[in-house]
Amino acid sequence: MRTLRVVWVPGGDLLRGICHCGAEHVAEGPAEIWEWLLGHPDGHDAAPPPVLVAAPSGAGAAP
Amino acid sequence: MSSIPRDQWYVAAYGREIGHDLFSRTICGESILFWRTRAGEVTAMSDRCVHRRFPLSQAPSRLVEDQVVCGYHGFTYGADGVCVAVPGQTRVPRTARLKRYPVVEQDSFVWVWIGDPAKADAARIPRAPWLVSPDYTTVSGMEPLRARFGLLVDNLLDLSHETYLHGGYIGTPEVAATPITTEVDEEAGIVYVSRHMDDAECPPFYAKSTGLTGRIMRWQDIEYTPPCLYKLHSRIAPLGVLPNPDGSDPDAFHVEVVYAITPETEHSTHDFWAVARDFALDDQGVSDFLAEQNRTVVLQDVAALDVLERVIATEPPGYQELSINIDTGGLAARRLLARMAGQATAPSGTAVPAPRS
Ligand code: FES
Ligand SMILES: [Fe+2]
Ligand SMILES: [Zn+2]
Repeated sequence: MRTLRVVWVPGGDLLRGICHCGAEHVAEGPAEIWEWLLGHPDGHDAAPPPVLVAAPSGAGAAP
Repeated sequence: MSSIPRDQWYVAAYGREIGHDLFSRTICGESILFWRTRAGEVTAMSDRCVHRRFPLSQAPSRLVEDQVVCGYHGFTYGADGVCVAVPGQTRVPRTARLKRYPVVEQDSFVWVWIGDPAKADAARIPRAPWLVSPDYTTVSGMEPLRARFGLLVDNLLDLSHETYLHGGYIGTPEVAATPITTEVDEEAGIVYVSRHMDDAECPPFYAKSTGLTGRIMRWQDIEYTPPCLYKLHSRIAPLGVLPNPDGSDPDAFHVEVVYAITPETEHSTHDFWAVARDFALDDQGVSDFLAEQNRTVVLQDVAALDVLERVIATEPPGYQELSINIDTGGLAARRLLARMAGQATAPSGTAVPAPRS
């Protein structure tokens, strides 16, 4: 079963999209979430989202 | 281009509407003639005589045994739509036959296939078994809607409107305030939207029917199988009462609210509604109350959507809608419908990318 899932992140206004491949993406509205989900596999990295750390200045452009 | 998906099953009527009388209804722009043969089978064929297209449902057209006789010049058709007699001559033109529609009677509905009959597969018709189950009591009806069917889909996929449009009936503040979870089963083509209110006011619709007073748990689980069948699995329980681990749920009240959303034309819809409950099965007072309440609620939606249809039909092109979290399920439904209708984008300017796998 290929299921796309969108949950309303508790305690806020954000939506989290969960693709059938396991990738997740958080966004502010349903249009953006569906666009991301339906764009599979573009930008879908099944690995858990990386912990964001402040990039040292001078590092390459953020992905 | 039409927004109405073809090669699909649609609910045309309740089985009880069709007897041994000519019955006509327009489904997806096609005028269809129904009747029940003496053997009890529902037949569906074009409601236009092949001769000069006089409606066969129109008096003095009439049913004689299992044949329909056109009221204009007497072309006579069998239950299979084949013309068996024409006036004044013995030779019946070989091409004289009415278009037939595959038809299935199931779960109290008469389903009709709109599209290529070779593709009709009765196994694909979504089910609503509660409507004929002895464990449930059902009330039902149908209201004509002067609005395109997509507006009713939007309406039913986002129940937050209950708080505003149906206050005092089924709406309470918690409906609009409670977050939803949305799922799309891409293979089965089903949209699920869940809203679980674990501590909510009990609206009159449920207070008077269940007898629960005070605050309740109210779970709404929508299951929409586009284009036609919409089911709202509604669970009402005293605070803190959960289903058992084995799935049994004896201390809750279950209401299955079923809608069949059938386009009549591009701009009008048959709004079939049914409410099945698993409690107070023999209580006619509860049946009467739920029927009256639900019809009132449906008519509140009809009034709002009729207005919306006029607004949309007369506005300049290019209006940009704004969607927020509550619209997650509605947007998913629009995309599936647009895909079924062979459209690259959904109506109302919501860009939806074509699915990729
Ligand atoms: S139109 Fe039906 S017989 Fe002439
Ligand atoms: Fe409504
Ligand atoms: Zn993916």
